This record gives sequence, structure tokens and C-alpha cells, in this order.
Amino acid sequence: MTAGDAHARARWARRGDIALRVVAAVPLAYATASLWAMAIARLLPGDRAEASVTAALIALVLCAFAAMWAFAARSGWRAIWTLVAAAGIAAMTTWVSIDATGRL
Amino acid sequence: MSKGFRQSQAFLHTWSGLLLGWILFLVFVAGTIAFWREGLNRWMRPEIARVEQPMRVLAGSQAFLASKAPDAKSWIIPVATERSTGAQVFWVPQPKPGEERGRRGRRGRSDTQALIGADGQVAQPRETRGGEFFYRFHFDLHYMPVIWARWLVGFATMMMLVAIVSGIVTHKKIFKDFFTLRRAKGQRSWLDGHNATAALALPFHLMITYTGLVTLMALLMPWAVVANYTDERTVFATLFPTASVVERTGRPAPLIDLRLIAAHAERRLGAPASFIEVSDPGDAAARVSVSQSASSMLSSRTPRLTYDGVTGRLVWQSPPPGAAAETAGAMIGLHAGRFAGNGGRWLYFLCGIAGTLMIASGLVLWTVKRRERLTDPARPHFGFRFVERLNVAVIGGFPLGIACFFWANRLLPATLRGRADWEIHALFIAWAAAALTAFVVRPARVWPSLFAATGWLLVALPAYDIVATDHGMFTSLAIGDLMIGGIGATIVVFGIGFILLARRVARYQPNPKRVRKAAAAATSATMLEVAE
Amino acid sequence: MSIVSFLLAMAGFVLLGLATDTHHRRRFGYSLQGRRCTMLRMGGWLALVASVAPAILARGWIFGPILWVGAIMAGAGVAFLTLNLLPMRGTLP
Repeated sequence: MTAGDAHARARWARRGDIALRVVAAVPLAYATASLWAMAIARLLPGDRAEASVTAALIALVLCAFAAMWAFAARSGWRAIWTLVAAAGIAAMTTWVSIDATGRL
Repeated sequence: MSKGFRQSQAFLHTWSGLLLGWILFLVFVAGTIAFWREGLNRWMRPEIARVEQPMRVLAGSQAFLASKAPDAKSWIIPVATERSTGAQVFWVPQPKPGEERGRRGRRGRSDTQALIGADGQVAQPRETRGGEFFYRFHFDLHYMPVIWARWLVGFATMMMLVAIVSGIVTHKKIFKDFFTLRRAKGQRSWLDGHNATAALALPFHLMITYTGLVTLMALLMPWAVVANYTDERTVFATLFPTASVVERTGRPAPLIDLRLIAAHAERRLGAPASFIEVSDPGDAAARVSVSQSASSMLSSRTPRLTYDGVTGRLVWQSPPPGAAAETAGAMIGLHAGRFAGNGGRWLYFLCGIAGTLMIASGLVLWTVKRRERLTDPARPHFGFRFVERLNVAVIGGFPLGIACFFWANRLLPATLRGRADWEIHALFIAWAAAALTAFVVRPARVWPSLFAATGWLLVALPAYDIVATDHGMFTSLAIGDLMIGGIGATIVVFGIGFILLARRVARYQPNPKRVRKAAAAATSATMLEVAE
Repeated sequence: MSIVSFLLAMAGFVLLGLATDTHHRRRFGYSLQGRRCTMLRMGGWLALVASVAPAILARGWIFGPILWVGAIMAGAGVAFLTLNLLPMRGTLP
């Protein structure tokens, strides 16, 4: 492999890493934040409308932080699997809660 | 804070700021102008007299609606203030039997609305969107379905929030650099300008961006509601309660004088009223709902009182909202700034200008930095050329479009069909011409030309008003109409500002540093530093 | 009262600005020494903290903090412009 080849591979590896981070920062961050909006809305006690509003206000911030995390994480793959894991926890929490007490 | 983290956020800041930065520029320009939308509503209808007796307008509105739409399903009457053009009343006709119940959004229809002027009579000013255009544009944009526009603006706003927070995190010496302004130093001067406009009004930028997201929350983050409700109407009934609906009886009964109800409501609320909605006027089951004005409190979700329309008895008042709803309402109120008096509006306006300059300087900074790293300054890569040209097209072209919009408001004949739409077409036609020039002619020549054209057009406007209308700047100030006079003066100041800017830009010499070796530039795997 | 809040905020930022080397050299002609720097910084922060109370007094607990944020932004802006654009006395660039 020549030095030129090595450069080219490094460039494509970096582009791939950035692409993964963009996937993490845009659709995945939004999905994770949305699922946490649902989980928080279920978990907060009290009036349902109040809980939903609070959860939505928080989720907007979570989305921004998730996007920042997508680029701060050590690698693109790490960004993706951590957000997927977080989303999964939120999804399960929501599902269990809705299964148990239903919706208005 | 580790170097890697800061670098990653610097990279994120650059791209989340750049990619939709042009949309954000449009939103900020329109939104900043929209803080004066009521004033502009009047300024763009110079034939309208100033409202001095709001109750006279209300009486006139009731009289007009009683004669024009006595059997309507509902009347909506905004309470006039000295800032408004009058009362833009509208009514919803009874649904015909078998016809599906129409949605409440009938705003666009011209056959079910009218403007009641200061004298209580129907006013026929030139057809124009006025200041409302800027307000709507900054989230609905134009020429596209509003849902698309709000998704686009919402997405751009989230990117802006990310850009702001990553910008804070990445700025190593934010307190030390707070007062730095290096002049005539190329990239560093642009950076200082960008940092200054960002840091000095940072609380405003954070607030306006986050609260902007909150105003679009129902669209962007509906999932929290979905988690708790199967039918969104249930949550709306909780968040936006109204008195229970009464069926029309079919027995006619005279509607009480609305001025009595308005006076009672304002006394009870301890604040001015903004909207009066009458359902089934002229019927025994008539109801009158009065909403408190958003200018009197922080939250945009104001209390409402509902009265019996025949006897004037209070039958319902809105329950106090819960803490979360109140918080969301306060955030929307902070964004709109309706609570702010004139001093507060000026502060909002200046902060909005700072934000606009922050965005514009950021967009330009991107090209200034890249120009210094170009391997061949005579033939820049496509990305650089595209961003540079788009900068000229948007930052130079949009203000020109707005100047032309104002001129169209003055010059288009009153009898022109679709006049209001044509004023807006004028904006976009002028902008398109500017954009085309930006992509065809060298930026160094187009920048000063666009700024100069905008400047002269703006300066000429109040001059035209003085000569051709009797609502010129000096006349208005003389009769104590500070809003109209003030808008004229502000336009002159902006015009002069653009002219001076044009001259400064014409003298600008970009100074590319020594050209770096191509290999060194290409293999740099480090992400770009924003702060040094 | 709102004006008082604004003036205190502006004074605070001017002091903090003078506590930076560049601006201190510009206005006073010599570089910043430790003790003077501390005094200027303390004075600056004190003035900023002091600007809170007049704002609350002027507008209460809801609009007061909003007014205060407005005052510090305005104060920072004016301080920034004054420090950077007011022509220098003396010969230093």
C-alpha cells in the first residue's frame, strides 16, 4: 500500500465516522429524545396534561444534548449504540407503563 | 475540558451553524422586524387614523356585525388599542344544514372579515399584509405549505440551539475574550465580531432559540402527549379550557352592549382585554367570551371570562393553569415579547439585530477562514464558492427584497387585484434578481452594490412619505404619533447604515495568508479550532 | 430603578473589561498588576451583583429578573462599545 492509499483510506474512514455521527445526531437523537419524552410523560406523577407538557419541554433540551453527544462520543459507532441503548430503555419503560395503566 | 471534546464541539458548531444558517438569517431578520408588527401594520396603511377611543371601535364593530352578519355562528372582535389599526373583525357563518362543521381557521377569507377603524366605521385601507407578513414569515415562510415551513424552521432552530451550546462549550476563554475586538485583522476580526454579538446577547439568544422550539412544540414533540392520550382533543380541552358549548335555541334575543361586558371584564381581570368572541349573537343562547390581553402578563395563555350574551351575567371563568402549562405559556410569552412596553421592545429589537449579525458574521467567517486556507485562491473548491455566493444572495439580497416590499406597499395601485400578494411577490422578485446577480457576478462587486441599493431605497422611503403623503415622519412626530414617526426614523437610520456598510465593504481587501501546502491541508485529521 | 440597574451593570462590565490586560494598557498606559487586577475584578462582580436588587425593586419577582437580564445585556453592550470604540487618550495603539 502506498502512502497515497493510506491517506485515502484515512480520509474515507473519517468521512464514514462523520456520517455515523450525523445519523446519530439527527434522526437518532430526535428518536431518542422523543422516546424519552414518552417515558418521562408516563413516569411523572400527577395530572397527565401537566406531565406531557413537562416531558415535552425537557425532551427539546435532550434532543440538543443528544446531538452534542453524537459528536463528543469517542467514535461514530459508540455514539450510535449509546443512543440506541438509551432509546431502548425509554421505549421499554413507556411500553410497560402503557401496558399497565393505559392512556386517557 | 479535554482538547478532543472541545474540538468535536467546534466541528459541530461550524456545521450545525452553517448548513441551515441562511434559513436562520431569514428567520431572525423577519422575527426581529416582527417585534414592531403592530406599528408596521399602521405604517403600511398610512390612510388609517390612529385609534383614540377603543370603546368607540368596539361599539362600531358590534353595530357593523349586527347589520352584516346578524345570524352568524360566531363573531370575533379584537379589542382595539392605540397601537392597532382598529379592529380586524371576522365572523363564522352558520354552517348550512348537511355541511360539515368548518374548521376554525377561516382567517384567510376576505368575505368574512372587515376592518373597523378609529371612528367605528368600516375602513378600507390599501390591501396589505402589513407587519403581519414578517411575523408569519418567520415560522411559516412563504410559497410552501405551513407544515413544511414549520418543520424546516423547527429543524433549523434545533440546529441553532446546538450551535449556541456547542459554541459556548468550545469557546475556551469566553470571559477573557469577552471584550476583545481586534480590528483590521482579517479572520480574527470576524471572529471577534461573531463572538461579541453572540456573547453580549447570549441570554437572549439562548432564550429566543429554546422558546422558539417551545412555540412549535406541539408539532415537533407531540410524543409526550401521545404517550398519555389516545385523542389529542382531550389534552387540548385540559390545556385550553373553554366554557361548555350551548346549543342555539332559535329564539331571538338582543345582544347586550359589548362595551358593558368589556368594561366589567377588564375590571374583574384587572387588566385590558384583547379578544371578544360572541357565539350565536342575537339568539337567547348567546355567549360572550373575553380574553385578557397578552400585553398585561408574561404567559401567552391568558385568562378568559364567559358571559351570558343577553343578560351579561358571568357564567364561567378559566381555571388557573397548572405549573407546566404556565411555564410553557411564559416561555411563549418571553419569545413573543408582547408583555414588553416600548423600552422592552427596543431591547428585544436590538438583541434581535445582534442575533442577525451573529448569524451573518458566522456565515461570512466560514468563507474568510477558508479563503486563508485555499490551496489556489484563484480557483476555490465548489463548497467555498457555493457558500460565498449564497452568503451574498441571502445576506445581501433579502434586505433588498424587504426594501422593495416597503416600496411596493407605497407604490402599488390600491385597485390592483391581489395587491397584498403582489407586495410580497415584489419582495421575492427583487430578492431573486439579487440572488441571480450574486451567482453570476463576482461577490466583491455584488456585496457593495446590494447594500448600497438597499440603503438608498430605505433612505428614500421616509422622504417619499414626507413628500407624497401627509403622514411623513415629522408630521407624525409633531402630532405625537411616536410609533409612525419612530418607524420612519428607524428606516432612515438603517438606510444610512447600509450605505456606510456598502462603502466599507467596497474598500474591503481580503488578505489570504500564505498558501499552505496542499498535502498539509489534506492530511490534517484534526477538526478545526474555532477559538484559538 | 431600572436605570440604576443598567448603570450598575454597565459599570460592572467596564471594571471587568479594565481588568483585562489589553484594555488596561489602553486606558492607563501600563500593564495590569496583581492587586489592581483583583480590585478591578472584585469591583466589577460586585457591581453586577448589586444590579439585581434595583431590577427586582422596579418590577417585582417575575418581570424583575427579566429586566435584570435586559440590563446586563445592555450594560455589557455599552461597556464593550465604550472600551473598544472610545478613542484612546495617550499614544499607545
